[in-house]
Amino acid sequence: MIVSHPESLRSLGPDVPTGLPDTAFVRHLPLPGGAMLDVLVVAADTDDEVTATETMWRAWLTEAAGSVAVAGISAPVVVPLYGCLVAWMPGRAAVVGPAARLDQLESAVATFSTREADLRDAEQRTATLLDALETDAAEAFTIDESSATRREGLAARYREAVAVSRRLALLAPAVHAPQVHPPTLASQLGERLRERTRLAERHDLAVSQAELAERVTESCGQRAADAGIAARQTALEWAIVVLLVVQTALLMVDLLARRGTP
Amino acid sequence: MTFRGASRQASIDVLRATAIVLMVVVHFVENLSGWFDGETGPFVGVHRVWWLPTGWAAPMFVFLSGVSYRIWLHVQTSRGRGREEISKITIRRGLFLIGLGFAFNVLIWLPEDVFNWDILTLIGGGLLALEVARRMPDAVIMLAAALVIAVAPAMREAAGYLDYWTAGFYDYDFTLADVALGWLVTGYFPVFPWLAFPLAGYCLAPRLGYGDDPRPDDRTTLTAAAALVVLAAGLVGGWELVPASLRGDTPLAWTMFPASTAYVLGTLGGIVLALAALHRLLDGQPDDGHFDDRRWPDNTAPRWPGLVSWATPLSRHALSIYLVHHAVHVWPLWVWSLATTGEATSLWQVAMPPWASLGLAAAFLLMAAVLCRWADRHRAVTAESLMRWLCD
Repeated sequence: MIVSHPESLRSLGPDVPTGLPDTAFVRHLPLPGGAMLDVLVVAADTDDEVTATETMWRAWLTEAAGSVAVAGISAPVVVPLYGCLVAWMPGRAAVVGPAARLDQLESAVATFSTREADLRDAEQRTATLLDALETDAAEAFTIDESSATRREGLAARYREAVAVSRRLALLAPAVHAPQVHPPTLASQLGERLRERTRLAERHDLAVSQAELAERVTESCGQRAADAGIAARQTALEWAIVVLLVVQTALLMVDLLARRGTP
Repeated sequence: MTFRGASRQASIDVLRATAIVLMVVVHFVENLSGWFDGETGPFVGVHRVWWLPTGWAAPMFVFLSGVSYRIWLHVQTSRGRGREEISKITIRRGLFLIGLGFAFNVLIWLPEDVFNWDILTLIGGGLLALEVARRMPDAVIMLAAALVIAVAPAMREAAGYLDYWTAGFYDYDFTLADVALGWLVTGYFPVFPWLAFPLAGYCLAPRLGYGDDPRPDDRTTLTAAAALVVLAAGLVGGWELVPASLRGDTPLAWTMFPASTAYVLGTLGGIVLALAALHRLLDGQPDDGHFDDRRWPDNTAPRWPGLVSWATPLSRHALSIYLVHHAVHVWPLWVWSLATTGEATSLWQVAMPPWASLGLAAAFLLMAAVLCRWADRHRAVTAESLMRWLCD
């Protein structure tokens, strides 16, 4: 049996693939970091109906693979669950199953996708920070008073590293959450998607990378601050030297003038 | 890799060429005709307002030595030359110029004027000072320049400056006190206040768009330069209002000998504004992206190429022109004086009318321009190439 969803829940997005029942629709959901998730929802009561739609939703999912930033995921993650079938890729997902379970599955996919997008965004930001790390470390030893722009860059990267660490810390409870007991359809789907996409391992790796970026950027910033303080002290010392030289010259002129010819 | 500072800057060449042209004119006219026909004749001298531009030549020359040093330093650093090597070259160049200055004084002005502290010894000493100053923050260098200007009047007062200039030129005895005082205060180009020019040139070069971290059209610098000009004009206009205790025994507000505060501030501000304007008007970039000094100006695209193509050889060989133009008019003057009166310096400043000496200066400049271009084409030995061969 195919159940139709209210028209108001459907939003603008990619077209529903041809060959699917008329009641199939695509929901367009916003994700963190400005990304979007398109969920193809297909109601199918029997295993045969579910199997019959596979070619179509699989093609629909993979056609997006080239246009969506994929973090190490080249093929859809497919989770069969109690007569339902959920396929997920970054940016797109397909939910096929009895109409009564579709809402739970859709909700679970949306929740997972939100966390995964959050983590993916943090991973990308961490990668950018790590790229700059080598240059920062090298330049930390050549900072002088004319390196104000470099110091500003270091400060910006340190703020970014702290922001990424904070985001990963906020994400940790959800990523490392224990299994729900008694299990529900949605919780099981969420757990399987987490396992299949190695969300916990990716989170741990991102945390360690963000910590490294934060630690190195902070130490480079400290060196830059020390260099700034040292430069100001040096300037003061030079100013004193200049004053002493001028004073000495004045004394010399005064002394020589008394011994001069005229 | 192309360095912005490595490209020959047409603005600097034009300003330096202007300085050397003014120098040639002022030296020919004042040495040959300065007091010709006394006060009644068509005198070309220091007390005529229209003659004042000639007083800008030396400040331009010395200021540009600081700017050029900053550019040179940037190029050397960019090419990976170590600090020690740069120091050695700088010191060798400074000592070369000081030695050349003494030799020049002996050969041109005769041995009795060996310690008159001419501009070559100032530029050489300036290079030695910049060797130390380049380790300082720019703010401290500016402080040093300001102090050098500020204490100069007090030093002149303490040294009794005018006592050394009673005859209208610098007259000293061969005593350690007089020689040292001449170097510090009383000579033609003493450290106080003339050292302020190379220090300011070095410090302001990036703010005028040259050397490391160039920031052309820096509003603060241009505003400060304009303020210096206004301050100098105010001092000149209101000199009578300045308390006598502060005026000292300087009769005029704008004098080159001694370099009065108004003169130093006014020329400094004016040169900064002129260089900023020329930089904006003239400077082009190498058209093939790679500057090659030996091929200049063939591979650059400056604006007004006709002007620049004549100014650049004059600028490049300014040191040689400075040396030669003295030799070609002072030596004949000594010989002529000796032959006619039996005293080598008897015709100094009274040898001929100003129009004749001005004509000779023009003829020399024309010849110099042609010879400098010829020297560039044939890689002839010049004072500059000799300095590079010995010092670099």
